[in-house]
Amino acid sequence: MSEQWSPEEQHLRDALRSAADKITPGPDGLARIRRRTAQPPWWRRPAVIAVAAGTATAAAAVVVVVNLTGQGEGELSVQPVDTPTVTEPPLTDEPTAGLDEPTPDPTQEDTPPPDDPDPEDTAATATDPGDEQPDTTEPPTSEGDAEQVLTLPVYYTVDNRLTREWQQVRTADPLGAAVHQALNGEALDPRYGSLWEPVDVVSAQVTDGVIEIGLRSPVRLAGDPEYADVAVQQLVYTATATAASVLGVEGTPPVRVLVDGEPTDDLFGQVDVSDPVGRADQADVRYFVQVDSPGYGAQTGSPVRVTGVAAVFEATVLWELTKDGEVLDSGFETTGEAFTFSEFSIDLGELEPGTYEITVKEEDVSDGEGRAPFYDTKRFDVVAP
Amino acid sequence: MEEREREAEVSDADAAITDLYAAHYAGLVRLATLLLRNESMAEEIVQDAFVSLHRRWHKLRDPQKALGYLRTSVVHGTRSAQRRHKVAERNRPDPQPDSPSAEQAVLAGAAGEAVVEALRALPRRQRETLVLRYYGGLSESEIATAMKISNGAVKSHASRGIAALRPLLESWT
Repeated sequence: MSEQWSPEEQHLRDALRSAADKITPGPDGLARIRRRTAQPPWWRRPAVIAVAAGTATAAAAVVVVVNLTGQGEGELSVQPVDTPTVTEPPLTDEPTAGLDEPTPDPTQEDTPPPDDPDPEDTAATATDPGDEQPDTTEPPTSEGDAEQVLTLPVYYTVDNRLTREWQQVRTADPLGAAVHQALNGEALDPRYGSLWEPVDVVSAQVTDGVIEIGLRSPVRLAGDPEYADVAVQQLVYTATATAASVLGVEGTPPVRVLVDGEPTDDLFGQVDVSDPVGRADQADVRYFVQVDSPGYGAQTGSPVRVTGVAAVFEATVLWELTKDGEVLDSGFETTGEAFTFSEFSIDLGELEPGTYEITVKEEDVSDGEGRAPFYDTKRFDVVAP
Repeated sequence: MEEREREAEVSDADAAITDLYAAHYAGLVRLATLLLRNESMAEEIVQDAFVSLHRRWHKLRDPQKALGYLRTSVVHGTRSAQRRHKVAERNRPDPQPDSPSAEQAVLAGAAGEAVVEALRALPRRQRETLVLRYYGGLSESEIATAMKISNGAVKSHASRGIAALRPLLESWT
């Protein structure tokens, strides 16, 4: 601070000081601040005094039931269930070396029976896919009696880029169910969509280091042909994330796509899938701002913490909390690293029970010119403990 | 006892806010005013920063960090305010009458004001860097933290800003 300043610099300092000296703040600043901070925090109110800190935030509140039924047809039927379950999803699904590698029985290898979509007998309770590494056991033996509610990472798209949603699905076949949810565009978040025309997923398994997903024709693109490769990545990201986080598959195996039980050379007549397809670079295909928790429509206790991932300029995301269209609070938070997908975490503090919307977006570096900033909005309910 | 701890935390936060207010409120309002083209928002922005600090006190606790947090919030708040202002300006049917040019102001003898006026016309990051350094007296790393940019970027914004103002600053001599 006591560096040698040039005469120009000293002039600048003097000019700024004399301009600043003319500014006199009003007399009641502290009173105004006090009024705004005086509202008693939730833990002081007697009704909720017993609630411990760090109440888990809810991930996805809507439970979707996926039944793999129909011998020979392999129809997936999906229906909502109205008993919300609270789960905390892992922050990221980036394959972090599952210890229990599934050891699929080689006898199963060549002929995935289309009428029996490989029920993964995941015996563990698996409410937290980040920690659980359930054994994938025998090849198909049981018929759908191993159903359980699992939290699955499902990829959708916004503006032709991939977004992820954690969904709770009751299923015996997490891999097939996750891919089904992705390709049929059944997102909880109304802004999320799919680049695929709805399509039947008839088989899903991990075999010899390859994830194999069987689809039934017709297989058609719903989006712009220019983004056909992103559509394929929607499938690949969903399958690899589910394999890693739910099945405990180590690494990121590539994905082979079968259509009507046969290997196929291309999808949508333009994307080469003659060899199994690996994950594309996140920077090329993923949407840059994403809220993971609370999930869209989730129910959560208070205080509320918002987590997600973003790859943004200056490693800064802006956020805004609204209720009934009115802004309650806003601020900014830093992510780990600029331009790189890294986690952010926003403490919203204690909130009254009610329905809220949180929007997290990148800072608009163009100052109003150029493309619109990337953002993600989640509606969620704070419920009384 | 956990509640008692929290209650203690809250009064702790209240006390910290009072101290920080006494020591830094006026300075931060002046800083915000220099960063803004539109002066009316400055106090509101600084108050927002204090309120938000109060909420986060349990995380920060350290008065030195708290001042850094306040500064960052103020810089950020002025950015947001300017963006909103810009949109409002764009939607205004008639253009604002031009403010007197720097040259006119110099001729009128208000050299310091002309410098501040010219400063306000600089690109945002250059303006911020110059205000934080020459008014705020912050070090390069403190500026980098407040603006969330690298030290190298602070250097280059500062030198470009000074270069842009040089003719005015020289003519003042």
